[in-house]
Amino acid sequence: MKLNKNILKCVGFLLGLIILLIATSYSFRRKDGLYVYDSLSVNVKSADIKAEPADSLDVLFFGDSESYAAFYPNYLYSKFGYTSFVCGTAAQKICDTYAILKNAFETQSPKIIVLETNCLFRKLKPKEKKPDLAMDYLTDTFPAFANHTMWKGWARKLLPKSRDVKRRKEKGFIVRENVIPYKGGNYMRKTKKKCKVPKEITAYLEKIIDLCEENNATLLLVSTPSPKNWNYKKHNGTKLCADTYNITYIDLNLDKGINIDWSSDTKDGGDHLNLAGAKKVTKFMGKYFRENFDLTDKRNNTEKK
Amino acid sequence: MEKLIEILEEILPGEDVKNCTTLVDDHILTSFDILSLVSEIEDAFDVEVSPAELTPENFNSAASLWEMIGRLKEEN
Amino acid sequence: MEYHLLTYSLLFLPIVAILYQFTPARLRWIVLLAADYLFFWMVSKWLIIFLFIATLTTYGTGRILTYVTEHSTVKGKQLTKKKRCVLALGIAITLGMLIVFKYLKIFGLSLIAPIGISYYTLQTISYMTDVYRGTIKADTNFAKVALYLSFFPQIIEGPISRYSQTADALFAGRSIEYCNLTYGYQRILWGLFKKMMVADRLAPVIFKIFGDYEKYDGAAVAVAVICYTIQLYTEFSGGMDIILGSGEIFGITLPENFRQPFFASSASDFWRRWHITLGTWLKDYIFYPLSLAKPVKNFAKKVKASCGIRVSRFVAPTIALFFVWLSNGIWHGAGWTYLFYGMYYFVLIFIENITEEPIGKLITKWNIHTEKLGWRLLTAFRLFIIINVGELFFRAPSVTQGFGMLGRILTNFHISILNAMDFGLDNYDILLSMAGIFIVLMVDIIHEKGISIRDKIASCRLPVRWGFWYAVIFFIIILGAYGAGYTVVDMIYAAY
Repeated sequence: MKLNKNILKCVGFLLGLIILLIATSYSFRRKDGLYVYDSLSVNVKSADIKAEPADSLDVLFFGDSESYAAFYPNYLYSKFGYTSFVCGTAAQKICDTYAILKNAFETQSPKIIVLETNCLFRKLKPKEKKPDLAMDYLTDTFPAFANHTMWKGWARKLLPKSRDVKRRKEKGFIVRENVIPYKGGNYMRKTKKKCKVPKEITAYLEKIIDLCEENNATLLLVSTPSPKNWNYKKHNGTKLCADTYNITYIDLNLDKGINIDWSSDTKDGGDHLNLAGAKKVTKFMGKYFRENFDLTDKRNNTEKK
Repeated sequence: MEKLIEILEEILPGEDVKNCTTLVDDHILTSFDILSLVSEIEDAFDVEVSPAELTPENFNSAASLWEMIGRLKEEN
Repeated sequence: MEYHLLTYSLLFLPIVAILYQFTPARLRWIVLLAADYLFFWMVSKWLIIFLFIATLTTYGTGRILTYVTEHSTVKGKQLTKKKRCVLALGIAITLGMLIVFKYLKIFGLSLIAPIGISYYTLQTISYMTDVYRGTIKADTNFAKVALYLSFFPQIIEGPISRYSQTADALFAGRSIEYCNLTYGYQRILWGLFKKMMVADRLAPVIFKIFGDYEKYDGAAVAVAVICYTIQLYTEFSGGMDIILGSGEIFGITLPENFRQPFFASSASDFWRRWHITLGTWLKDYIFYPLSLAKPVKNFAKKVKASCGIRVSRFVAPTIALFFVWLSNGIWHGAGWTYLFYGMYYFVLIFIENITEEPIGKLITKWNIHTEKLGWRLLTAFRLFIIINVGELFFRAPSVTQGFGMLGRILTNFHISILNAMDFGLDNYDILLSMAGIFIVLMVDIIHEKGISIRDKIASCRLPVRWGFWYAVIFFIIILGAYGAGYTVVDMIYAAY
């Protein structure tokens, strides 16, 4: 009799827990109903964009850590007078790109969207070094697990001082001046082999293309220089993908006259560019925008910046 | 037995060594004290204490120590 | 499979528990042993052979020792000599495997070691030595020895238990009691709290500043060191909570590894409260035998003759103490930092031992009340610094860099920079880690007072009780440092 009662208690406790989980999950569901991988980064970045004056940005840069190491908005402004913001986040998955872009279009009307291509090869659910089956299941099933960092947004609303998000001085870029040279030599050996962009990612790419069309923005695919992350197989795969959807693709790993010096332009031995490298890439991008798009130089326009 | 109490009192001044039964368990007797105690006992009673004897059961009280000494004497 | 993964506590453990419970009591040990070997296999694959060799050696040595004792024609010293040979051979085999896997790195040969080899090897030595000493009888049951050496919750990072502590309970096949089950899971939950609320949240600070300390102010380095000490404590003791909680479910009481270490009164007291089972192992199998060894004793007698008892009584313990701390350092791995860490505590504890008497006299002379809060806070503060300096060298990439960090703290310390310092955590995470540390501290204070929190809660009425545990669970789910944006740190002590 006692044993049965105890088993009943255990089952009761677990049932209660599941009911509570389902109940709380309602508050943790994303309002936009999108699937995101890193909900905290998406929310922070979306808030950063919202903090910028409405319709003030010409260009938005997306991608993983390569993007905020290579595209330098303040430099682009000082050289060319174009306004921009880096919406890249650490290890950004393309589903997060889509979510941030969708949020950005609510207050901004950029003409150009640049997507750094390394994120075309990042799986939506990356394999972990030490997989946790139970945790993965709970994350997939209950938004309370997947989006648990939402509490930070609520806390922000509750704590009066932090209500206003400060504008980012560097506009999403991270200034890093240290140098660890890359000594590996040529990493772009020509080959016919292809590393195809996975289907789950092209599906999101299609959604991003549609979203850009709706908002009259042009999507560009750009591969920033990185021996650690890029090779000719990935180039071929991205080229094929760009041709399929008829989007412009620029691979800066095949030197387009930007003259990256691998002994001084990388901060970590060829993984990411440093400030010097970023300036070279940004200069190229500015020239490209000037030649191919009709953007206005806003440097004399005191209203901005 | 009196000799033993005397030794204990010298090593643990101010403790009620006669009646305490948790000398080791309550960390009154530290491992350093145990070693001093062993060398005193060895000299006073002419026995040899092996590492195997250094257990809390043997060192928790004066009575258990006395018992151990008796046993070691017999073995000699 | 590391213990903080939910796969362990929500999948592996329940499955084993259910299978165990539905098996007849006399066969339950088979379930446990199968679970042990499956667990080992999942992490270390074919390296399981080495665990098996160690088990065979341990069992065999025990049996041979008994045989020699019972059937020997010689008595007394000669018998002891014979037994000592058998023991030495047994230890040479198991310890040899440990040395090959752990220390051949020095010669550039890096092997992947079987999990927990540092822990189970110590258990093999304690079993064989205890049989040799006659404190336990060699078991004729091979399964029991195998169970003792491989129990899955303790295989990765201890606690290092003795045969007399766990073997019987492991073999007995006791039923899982409701009380044990709930208490066990409550303790696991507390371990996850420490890990997910504090240890993992602090990870970026430590990673960032220990990585290149030269770029940071001394104050920032000091913060990183304190964070590491807290991370190490919450991570390791949290792991122990999960491990001991798992044992509790099966009615197996594993020995405690922590007893509120930060409330210790001295460095030697700290080591009676921190990684306790390693400390007692070193005490029983290195400290005592060495200080009672003939040559050491004779040397002490010589000193006594020339310098008197006041000096000579320190001789044997100090020699033994040196080897204890040498072993403690080396046990952590082949690295100068670990050796330094061991010697650091050797020197500290040596000083404590020789100054104990004069300081005691001063305290009575100056009429200091050691029970008063002020004095106790002062002692705690002093000890906290001692511990942190130790952990600084423990974690530093090299001893030189350790001194570099210490130098920065001492010569370039500006508390004002902390305001604008980017620790790699946002304000919410900083706030929450502080709250987490505060809760851990409170719980430790309550435990230090000898109050069992689980007993208190269990005596509440059901709605209160359940409400409390639901609250803790949701606290962890919502505020825990897991998922995207956080990094789960590997079990730190699994590497030693």
